[in-house]
Amino acid sequence: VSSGGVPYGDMPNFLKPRRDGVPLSDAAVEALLTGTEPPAEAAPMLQPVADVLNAMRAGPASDELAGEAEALAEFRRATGASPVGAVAAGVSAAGVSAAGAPTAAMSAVGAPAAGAPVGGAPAGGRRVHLRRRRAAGSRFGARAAVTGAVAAVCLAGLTTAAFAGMLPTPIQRLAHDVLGAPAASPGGSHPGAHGHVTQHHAPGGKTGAAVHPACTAYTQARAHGTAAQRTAAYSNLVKAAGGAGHIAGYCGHGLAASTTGSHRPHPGKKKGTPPSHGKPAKKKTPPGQSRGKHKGHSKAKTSAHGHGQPGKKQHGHGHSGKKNQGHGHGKGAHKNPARHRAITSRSQ
Amino acid sequence: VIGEGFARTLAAAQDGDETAFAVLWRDANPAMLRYLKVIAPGAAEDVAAETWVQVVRGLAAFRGDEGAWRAWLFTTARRRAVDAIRHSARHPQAPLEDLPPARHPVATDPAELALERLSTQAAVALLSRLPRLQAEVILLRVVAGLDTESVARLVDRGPGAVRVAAHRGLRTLAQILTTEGVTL
Repeated sequence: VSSGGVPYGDMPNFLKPRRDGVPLSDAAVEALLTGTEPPAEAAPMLQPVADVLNAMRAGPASDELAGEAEALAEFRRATGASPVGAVAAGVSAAGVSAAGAPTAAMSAVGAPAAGAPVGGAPAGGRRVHLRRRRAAGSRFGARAAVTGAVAAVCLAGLTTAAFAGMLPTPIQRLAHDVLGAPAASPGGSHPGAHGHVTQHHAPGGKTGAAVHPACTAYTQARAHGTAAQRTAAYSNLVKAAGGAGHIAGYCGHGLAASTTGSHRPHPGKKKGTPPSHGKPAKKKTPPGQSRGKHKGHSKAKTSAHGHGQPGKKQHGHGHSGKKNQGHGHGKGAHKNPARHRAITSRSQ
Repeated sequence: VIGEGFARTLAAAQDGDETAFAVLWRDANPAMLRYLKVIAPGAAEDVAAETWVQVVRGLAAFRGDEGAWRAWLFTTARRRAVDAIRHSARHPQAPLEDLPPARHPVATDPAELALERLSTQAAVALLSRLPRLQAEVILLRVVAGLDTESVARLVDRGPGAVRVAAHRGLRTLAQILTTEGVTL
């Protein structure tokens, strides 16, 4: 290329342009970085660089000290110290001499003597505190939500097990006292499986005695149930007692006497009227095996004796939680108060 | 740089002396902000505030001289800046509205403040044009006052790499100033 009479100096250097415009020795670099005088030969060339670096080393600008209040507040929060005089009150860039603070020390570190940002807390600092507070709040909220959910699930499971009578005897007793769950059977760890219902106030006046559920169910069906329910309850009772003739011995004489001729439709009860307390059972439930799912018999037997006896607890295996609570007392249970009183007195 | 009185000031701050802590804060916060404005532009104030929160929590357990103190400060600031950059990359945000005029910092001489800020801001803007490692090394050497070994530990590079980065950064800066005729 150079043989055509073109001088070497006119040929462009495409491969690698020389970068020797600014001589920069290691000593000059170190001098620039440490702020000392650069070598004499490089001083004129490096003066603009030195100016930039010196500007970076300049004393604090006012806005660079504006976050002092927030920092001191954080310091107080962390150390538990109380505000110190002018530092906490003024928080000015003019120093803290009012509180006897070392003004000389302030000037030594480049604090300006005047030109104070009055009460100027940076938005950044506030944002940080807000963010920290929000983060702490969300962490606490999430933790509380998880704890609440776990507690709710555990409580629901425990309640279900309690009303199913599936808990060990001591816990079942506790649930019986606290929640009104079925009482624990005297001999077993799963009271619900045995079908015995302990009532504080038995229907036939047998206060405190153990009454068979079939007897209770029949009593309640007789008082409040439909004809179908009474029939089902009676047949269950006959089965449980081992025959109609054994009902007296099975349930007690009071009930036996009342069963004679009492198996008839409830006076004043319209045929086909839905029971006021729960759905009728679709299938017959053997006495003593009613669980929460068998709503018909269970509800009938747990509801009747609550009328007019608010202080008496009625417990049975038919309790299945929320739906059975207050059974017979709720809205629509007895729309006619007079009839309600009549039924109550009859059942007693 | 506080100098000879640093050990006494630090001890007082560790004992809960608010005035001593103010001295430490006033000494380090401007430099930290300038460093953060280059490596975490747009979030420097937030990162600085978070850095001080962490420093205050660990202040009682700190042991070391002023060089170690500044190295700890800037290491903490750098970590917080990295966190902020990652967070902003994951959650891009629109800038908040500006402070109302009543809350703007007040200076006795606005012209002086403007000049002061202009020169510093121009220097920060110039350094921001450098590659990140070069700008960071220069800032840690110049603003934080750390030596080569401390900077190498802080940026997790070797001392040789730090020297090379500083050399290249200063050369690039000189070229920018020469070719563009930038004056402060």
